[in-house]
Amino acid sequence: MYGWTGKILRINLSSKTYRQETYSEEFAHKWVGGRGFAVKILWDELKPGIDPLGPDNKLIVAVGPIAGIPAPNTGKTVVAAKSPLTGGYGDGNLGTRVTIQLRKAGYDVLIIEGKAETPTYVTIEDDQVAFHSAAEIWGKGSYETMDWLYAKYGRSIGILTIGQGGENLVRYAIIRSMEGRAGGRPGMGAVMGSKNLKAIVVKGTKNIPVADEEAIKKIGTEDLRQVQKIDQETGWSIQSTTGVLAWCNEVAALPVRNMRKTFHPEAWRIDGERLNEARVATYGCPNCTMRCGITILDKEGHEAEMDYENIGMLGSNLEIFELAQVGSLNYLCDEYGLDTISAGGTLAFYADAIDHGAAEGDFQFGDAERAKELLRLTAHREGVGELLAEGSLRMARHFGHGSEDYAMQVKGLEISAYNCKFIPGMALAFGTSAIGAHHKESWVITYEINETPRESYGREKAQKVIELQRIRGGLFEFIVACRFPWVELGWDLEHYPVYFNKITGLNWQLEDFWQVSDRIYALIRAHFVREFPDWDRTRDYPPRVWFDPANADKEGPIAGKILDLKKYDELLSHYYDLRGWDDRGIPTRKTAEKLGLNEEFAALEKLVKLND
Amino acid sequence: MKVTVKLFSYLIHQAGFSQKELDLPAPVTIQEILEMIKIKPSLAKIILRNGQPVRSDELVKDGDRLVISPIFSGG
Ligand code: SF4
Repeated sequence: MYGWTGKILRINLSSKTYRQETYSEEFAHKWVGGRGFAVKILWDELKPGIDPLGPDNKLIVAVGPIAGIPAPNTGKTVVAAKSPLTGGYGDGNLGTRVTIQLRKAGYDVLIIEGKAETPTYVTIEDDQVAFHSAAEIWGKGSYETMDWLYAKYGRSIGILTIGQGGENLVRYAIIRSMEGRAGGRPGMGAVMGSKNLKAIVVKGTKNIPVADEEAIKKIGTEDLRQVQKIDQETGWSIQSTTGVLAWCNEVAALPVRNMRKTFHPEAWRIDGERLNEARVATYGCPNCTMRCGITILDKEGHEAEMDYENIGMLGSNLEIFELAQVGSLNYLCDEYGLDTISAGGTLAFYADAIDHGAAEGDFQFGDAERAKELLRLTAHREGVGELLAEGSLRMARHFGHGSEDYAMQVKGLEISAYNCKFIPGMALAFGTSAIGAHHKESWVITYEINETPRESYGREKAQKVIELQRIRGGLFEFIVACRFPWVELGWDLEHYPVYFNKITGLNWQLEDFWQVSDRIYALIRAHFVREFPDWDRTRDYPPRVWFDPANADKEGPIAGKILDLKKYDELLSHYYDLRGWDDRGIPTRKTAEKLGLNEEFAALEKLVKLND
Repeated sequence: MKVTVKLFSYLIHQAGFSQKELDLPAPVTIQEILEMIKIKPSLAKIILRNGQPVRSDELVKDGDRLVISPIFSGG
């Protein structure tokens, strides 16, 4: 078998033991890697109903066949577990040297199980695994922890670590690596923290098994150059992802004031142009020439690495329009190991709930200094931080007074920085994103604004959401690579089967990947249904406030307009129909059979009645 | 004829401005405006005229506001 190492490293923190396991070629072909491996392993190994923050949960770190190979943007790794935020399958990807080091150490997957008795970090060097006391770094922020580890093991190591947020089980704590890199929005950092695991350090010396080494070296290196050339010619990385902020403001899609508003006259103060002017450094993931991490100095003088989601959620959504202050909030989230999107969404919800009399407190939109303090309280679960650490949905259930309607989340995961109060297709993308409201899976908004009437709820929008989910939530998450060359620079998707085939020696076409994508989406959905057997389609609805006429914009391009629930429901039905899921949003028996999931769905059928 | 052009992301750096009111001789198509402001038509992926999607071979009218952006994903 080429392209895959065929090996899993299983580490048990309770017993301080580890063992190497092999997986079959059939498993590799069926699930490919990354998200595919993670969802299948978690399906097989987790019992429904386990506490996501208990020792029975497992943390999966998984790469794919393209990961770590010198080709465009292959430095990504997937981290996954049962989510403490959503209660279903959760995952995320992040750029990290772990991708390369893990492959070189001879593994495609790490399974971390059990719970260490005391704070621990683990080192993996080829076949050797060691368990070390993390007493010196427990309680420290992620930047400090990484520096400590670099000083000890050298700068070439791969690190996955958590900050205080993960240690204190903040439900949206992420995993950190390399400068500003972070991933695992639905609480993957909290899962690490619940296992008393402060960090994983990886270093490998082996060769990655590749079918046609010469060809991939030639093609991969040339393509890295080509991608760099396109980037330089267009100038994409001058603003990187943050170029979208001004556009969202223009088309009334910017999150402002807990998404109550869709644009703001001061948004230009935190847009991509201003960010580029303030740039002091640029960072990126391994094997990437696009380097999208624009870094500025925050209010306190720390380096803060920014992207659009950070600025949208910690800036405009909190009505904070001072760039250095947004930088501070971004820096603190990174240092504490909190997801910037959920942190921004949760703080905005808190301010909104106070505004609407559902909660008591002293936080108001625009108050950057208090927001910083609240992040500190959240990461340490002190005072009101105990509540903020739970995320917006749980807070809303605690506050009551109808506040759940404006907790801006789906399935418990906070919505990323696109305000869809009048963008039906993008609302569907958030509604049906596999792990909760994440933009990574189906960024349909540009298609929708550019090629369809914005107000339409036509079947073509559901079709487009699925097409993008197959590529973004599927292909790039299981081969594993960063989607930006394709998304941002128009790098042809056809390149990816070429890399894949040269690496694995197989002869796959893009269609073969779509089948794997659909299988993964069906199994992630099955995971959720297994956890919530009373599953129904309302779990794929965005928050009620997007359907509330009282919440329509009073001015601007979408004044008086709002989503229509009945029509959204019809759009959702198109989506289910196209996917072969029933009207509850559960894959049918026939779909499961077509995707080779008979065994999994037979198990599911013991809990939930399936339809044909 | 006056037409306002608003650009986004890297198109700003290509054209050298983010928003400008252009004084143009009629009739003129969007495609021709792109050439005037030195933006490769292949990079102008999303073009809105007064908030509505529009094809680049269409003519503009006095007072139109053109919003031109490349593809981007935001994260
Ligand atoms: S484009 Fe950005 S996110 Fe993607 S690999 Fe490069 S630095 Fe990482």
